[in-house]
Amino acid sequence: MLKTFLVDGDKGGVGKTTVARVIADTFVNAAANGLPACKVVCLDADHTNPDFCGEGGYMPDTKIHDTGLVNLDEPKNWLELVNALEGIIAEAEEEEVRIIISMPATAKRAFESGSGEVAQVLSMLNTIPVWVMGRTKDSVTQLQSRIDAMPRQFEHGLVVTNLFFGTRDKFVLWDGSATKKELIGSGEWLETSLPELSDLIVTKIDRTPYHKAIESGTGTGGQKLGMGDIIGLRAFGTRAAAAMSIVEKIGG
Amino acid sequence: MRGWDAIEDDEEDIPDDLDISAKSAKVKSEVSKKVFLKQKPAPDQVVAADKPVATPAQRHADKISATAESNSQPPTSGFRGSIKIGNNFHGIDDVGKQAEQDREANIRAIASLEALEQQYGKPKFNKP
Repeated sequence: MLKTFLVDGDKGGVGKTTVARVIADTFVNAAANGLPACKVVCLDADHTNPDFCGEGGYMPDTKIHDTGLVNLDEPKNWLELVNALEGIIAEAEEEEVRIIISMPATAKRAFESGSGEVAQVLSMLNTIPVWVMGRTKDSVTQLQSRIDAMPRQFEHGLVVTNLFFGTRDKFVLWDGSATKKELIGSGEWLETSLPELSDLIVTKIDRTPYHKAIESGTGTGGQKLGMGDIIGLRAFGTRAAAAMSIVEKIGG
Repeated sequence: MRGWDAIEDDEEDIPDDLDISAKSAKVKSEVSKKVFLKQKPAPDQVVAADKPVATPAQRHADKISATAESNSQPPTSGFRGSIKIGNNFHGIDDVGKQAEQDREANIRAIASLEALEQQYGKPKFNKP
């Protein structure tokens, strides 16, 4: 079975890449997180800042099946994406495959252009939107715009509040919105919170995949991580995976 | 017959004073190259040659293996995956700088939001 998690949000810096990295790691350590063993494919569509799969980021290894840099601003590139994924789509008939796509802040162009191709590709890839919710009004209205543009493709999904930007009670605009009432109330959308990771560790590991940093004890540029960093990273990984495993429950 | 036309065009590039056997060898090599490129073997021919038709999964595996091979060359961008669509990726080597700027901008935005909250109180919503 194939599931594609489309990690999206209203602007840069809300934590889309971090959420994509955490979801990838959650499935890399599937057994420990009570999830089915699966092939993990990571795609970075953030062409202005490819922190997910650019240099030093997630790359094919024993745990990551494949990675890609894909500019999805143009609808025609979505069709090329399907061509490129033909093999993995075929494999998904026999085994579990999870694709994680980190979207750029410019993604709205592709969604709101009313492109039938984009909608079809999303359906074909069995896409589950993962919306990284910020504390601004835009974050709520942009999500509503996506739903209005492609209601069928956004009929279920996950909202993630990033606790890096404040405790959960600070997300008042989301909590008070009609969008939340409708989505969470429907039972088709779920909500979770991404735990905070220390700034110091974030700086030290940069694009290094979490599982690589823990295994090798090194961060960006081969920088050695301290014991405290490893403990912090492991704790974050455990909490984040517990929070993010919920994504597997969406969409059957 | 376009292939033959192309070969005739190519002949014009061969100097007249070239040894005739060398000219013949070059034409022959061009013929085999062009015919090979133009002729796509039918699937049954491939099977007859004891090479099974590649499944999409196999093609994908081959692609990864080809990418791994090309990755043994000095990397230009550090990217290692097999899928690349679009060529205007920026900042591949500019690790984390943009994210850092975005994050700082968000922190500033939240600080001003909190200042507004302190001044005017939390936003109120119409209860349904």
